[in-house]
Amino acid sequence: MMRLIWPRRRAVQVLVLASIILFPFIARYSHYLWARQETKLLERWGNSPAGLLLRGTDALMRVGLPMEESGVVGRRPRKALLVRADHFVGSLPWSARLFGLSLTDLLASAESAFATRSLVSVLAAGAIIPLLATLLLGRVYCGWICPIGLLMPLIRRLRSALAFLELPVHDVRFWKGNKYALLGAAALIGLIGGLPILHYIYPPAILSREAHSFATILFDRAESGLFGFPWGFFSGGMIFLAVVALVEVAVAPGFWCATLCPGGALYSALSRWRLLRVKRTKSACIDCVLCDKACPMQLQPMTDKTGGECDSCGVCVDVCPTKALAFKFSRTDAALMALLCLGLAAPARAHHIIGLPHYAYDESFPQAPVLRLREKLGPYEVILTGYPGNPKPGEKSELHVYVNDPATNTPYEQQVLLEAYRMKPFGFQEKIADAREGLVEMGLHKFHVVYPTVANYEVVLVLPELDGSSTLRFPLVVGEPGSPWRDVALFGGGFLALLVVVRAVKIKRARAALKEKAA
Amino acid sequence: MKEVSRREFLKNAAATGAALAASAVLLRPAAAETGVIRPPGAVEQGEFLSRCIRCGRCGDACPSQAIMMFTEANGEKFSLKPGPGDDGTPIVFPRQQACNLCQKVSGEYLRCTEVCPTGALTKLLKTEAAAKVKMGVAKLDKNLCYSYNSKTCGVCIRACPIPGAMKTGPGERPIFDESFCVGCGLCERSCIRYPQAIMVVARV
Repeated sequence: MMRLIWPRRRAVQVLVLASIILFPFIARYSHYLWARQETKLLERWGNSPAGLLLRGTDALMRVGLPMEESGVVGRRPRKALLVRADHFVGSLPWSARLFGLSLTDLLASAESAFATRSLVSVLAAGAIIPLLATLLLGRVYCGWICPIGLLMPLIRRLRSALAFLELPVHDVRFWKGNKYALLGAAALIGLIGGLPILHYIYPPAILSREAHSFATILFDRAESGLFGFPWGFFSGGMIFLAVVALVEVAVAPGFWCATLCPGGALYSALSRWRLLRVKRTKSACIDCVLCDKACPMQLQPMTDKTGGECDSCGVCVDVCPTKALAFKFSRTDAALMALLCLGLAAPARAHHIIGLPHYAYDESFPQAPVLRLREKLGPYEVILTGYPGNPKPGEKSELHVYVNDPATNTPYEQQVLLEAYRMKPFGFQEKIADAREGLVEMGLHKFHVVYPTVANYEVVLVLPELDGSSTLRFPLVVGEPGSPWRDVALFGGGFLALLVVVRAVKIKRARAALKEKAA
Repeated sequence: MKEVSRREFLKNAAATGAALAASAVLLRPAAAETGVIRPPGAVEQGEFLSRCIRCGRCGDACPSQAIMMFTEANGEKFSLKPGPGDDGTPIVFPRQQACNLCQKVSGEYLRCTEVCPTGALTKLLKTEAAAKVKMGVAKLDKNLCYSYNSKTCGVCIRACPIPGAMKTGPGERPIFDESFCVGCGLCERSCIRYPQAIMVVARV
């Protein structure tokens, strides 16, 4: 019977990817448990995306726990859930605490150590298990844990779409030393400049951060009564990943992991003397080159050219028709496996929990959320506070303007005028509130503004008595309008896609006509 | 291999040195310019930026969700923009959610400092938090404060969890002692005035 490796590898990768997405939700869920808000929020959020995700997390966390707390059947087992949630902190491929055990990516540890020129014990403790695993099993992190190993092959399937559109499909291979050069340069910059920079371009770090910011923004918005999809979580890191994906699809499949990833470089360098290797039985090998073609790291297992760069993915072992290739441990494997098991079986941490409710997220607590914007104008500091912090269309909202000279701590007593504009695409504006004076009370200028619709607004403050520049602009968002530029980008993107499709169809037709003629 | 003349070698070495020096100047983390409030136990700002790996574990562990990862989107509401190297680092917006030094949850240590994998947040016992934490310092604006303007309030005095930091003056006026303040921001969060008469700013 053939025992294939790839299903197991994919299962591990899917688990890790699921954990990246799930852990931030668990963190938020445990926070709501601390605040004793989970039941209330589940009721209030209903079937919105945030509500469904919270409900899903709740169901998943309660697996195997009876719905019972301190003898009351039907009450959520809060203490047990909190203990359980404490086992999943962070993000597995970047830095996580799993069952009380600290696991930090080696690139992260190395960067931090280089930038501070020191090695603190917590950092070393988190790096022990990944380091041991790399020394024993080689670059397993890349092949089995890193989410890119799962996502990029999926995205590369788009190459067939490119072929269908008759667009050129390239297969460029870069020099594998690039990644070491990048790693070295970053290490030098970290050492001199004291700033870790690789986490900006390291895909596991980017994905971990994006997952966290997604959960944060989703739940923050739901707490303020906004239930739309939070597009705002998209950041520069995602754009970088998109560019990498584009290059993978159109120009050089597999270039990132094999030739450019700084993390891959570090893991490759560390697994130079690894114990687990792909071994070839020379008598069984029929020189079919299938393994060389299949290797995602662009290595040549057929001629035993694997070494430290092999990510132990097992593709070549699976693809070999004569089973000439196989993973082989050196003699010490039993002892090492025992060591690994010892490391992984860290004791679960139990807590005695004495939570008290705190006052966040209560609608009865009027101070939150409040918008507070600060700006400098001449000698003055202008603070604009708005209540509510996320105004709703058609409802009266209050804006308080406080103009103060911080040097002398005297408030500005002269006239302050306020105007409000609605922002439209292409820089157009529509005035919704004429310039007017506010009610002055205890050094504050108070204004009332009603925003007519869900849109982006700009509040303009004018201090006419002030010399020099006397105007300030504060951006405000009412409801969930998205950026006005989104419409423009959508239109432009759609138009470009249409052009590509039209051109592809034209080419196809011309080819078909040519073929017919030839026939 | 191509022969390299001495002049060429010196030229290249000088250029490399200049580039490295320039990068050292340019890439040095902008220390304390933005004046943000870091979680408890944070090491000094420049060191913090070097040490932190932006993993977000402290934010996950924070039971009050006071620790946010600094991005342009969440700083916008408070007119704060991440400076060079600030992106994705943990930050506290006391106005939004103040840190209560884990006084209401179980465990021996402040949870964020316990989970930090790099030592960017030094591990602190809950019992020593009041003495050792210096996240920022509260600043009182007497022009705005109700109690200093012949209206009695005193909310911040009651919100302050640190013994000695706030004393009650005549007419519920807060009499504030900076040396005890940990910068938790509970006073700012409790202040009933808009804009807040008491605000937490970074220590400089």
